[in-house]
Amino acid sequence: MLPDPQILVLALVALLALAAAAATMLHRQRRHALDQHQPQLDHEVRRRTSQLTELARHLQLAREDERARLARDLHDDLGSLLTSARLETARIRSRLENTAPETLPRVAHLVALLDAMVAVTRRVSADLLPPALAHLGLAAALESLAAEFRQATSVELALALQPAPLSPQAELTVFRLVQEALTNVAKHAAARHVQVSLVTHGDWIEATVTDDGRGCDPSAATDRHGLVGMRFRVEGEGGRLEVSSPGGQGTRVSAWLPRAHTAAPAP
Amino acid sequence: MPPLKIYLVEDSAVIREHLSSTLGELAAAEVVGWAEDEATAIAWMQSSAPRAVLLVVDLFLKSGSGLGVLRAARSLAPARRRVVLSNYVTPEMRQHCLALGADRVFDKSRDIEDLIAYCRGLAGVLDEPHAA
Repeated sequence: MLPDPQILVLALVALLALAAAAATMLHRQRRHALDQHQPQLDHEVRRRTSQLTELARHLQLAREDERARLARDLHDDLGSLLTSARLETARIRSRLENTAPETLPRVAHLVALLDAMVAVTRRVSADLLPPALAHLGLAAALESLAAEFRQATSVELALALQPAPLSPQAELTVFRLVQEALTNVAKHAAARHVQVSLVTHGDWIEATVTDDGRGCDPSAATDRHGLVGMRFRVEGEGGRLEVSSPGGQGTRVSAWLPRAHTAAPAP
Repeated sequence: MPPLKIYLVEDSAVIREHLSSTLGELAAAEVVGWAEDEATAIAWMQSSAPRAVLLVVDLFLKSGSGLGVLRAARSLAPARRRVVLSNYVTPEMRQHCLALGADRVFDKSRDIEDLIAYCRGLAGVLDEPHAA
């Protein structure tokens, strides 16, 4: 026998009401729990964020260390061996000139091969880490970067470099920033002029790349132009990265980094 | 003909060895001393008994740089010929080295024959100890 449908409906309504009440209670409890834990959660988010920033910095440094080591091995070790092989070839050629002149074209070919190997070694090594940066300092490395840029593009580049005491890591960060910004100028900006400057403001060094190209949306620029990693990097050095596009005319990428404190020079 | 006396500023032992044997055989040159960093090279120039008439200087050294050596040589060794032998010969760097008093700038791969020819030429003219 079926139960009275009215009773069924009533029971169903009662059940629904009960469920709604339970849900509301649960929701309130959760809200309460959340409110209670909010500071703790905020703290946890901050802690994790700082851990991730630290991790990103660590990975970045590990990567740069490895690149520097490979560049050194290529440039110093392999480079020295190739130059030595080149010297030995000169000695052999001098003997063959008299004893077996018909072999000289082969020697010339060998010399050309050695020169090609040197060229590849230098290119790969410089891509990993520009040799001027480690040996001659940031200004020399930026000058050489500027020369390459002028050769590869028709954009006019002006350099204004003040002496900037930076830690070796901060020097590398500035170099990578300028490299990245110039790549963006060449690829996206349709600019006619670009200026790279290093300026000292008291305890801070400001490195800036300004172009007169088509500009960008600064809020999106960091993501779109691969500068997001750069922001992490600059902040990892205790600095700040600013990207702006005043009135949508041109782009200005600027990093502020703390001046390196060396022992005070003798007066 | 007495050998051309050379002082090498070069931080790679393998290049020092091959340079000295090659220039010895092909340019009648003798490497009479060497340094692998800027400070040692400058100390040598300041010492009273330097016999070399030619300094062959690499730009990237164990510490300091060949540019520092060239800069110091302008006042400490003005009578000696200075040449650069480097893996880093950009047009700007060449100009820079010449401005610092380098007589010639040689690339460590494509200018090896030119370096040998240059040393051969010097062996002929720089016999006297006080040659310019």
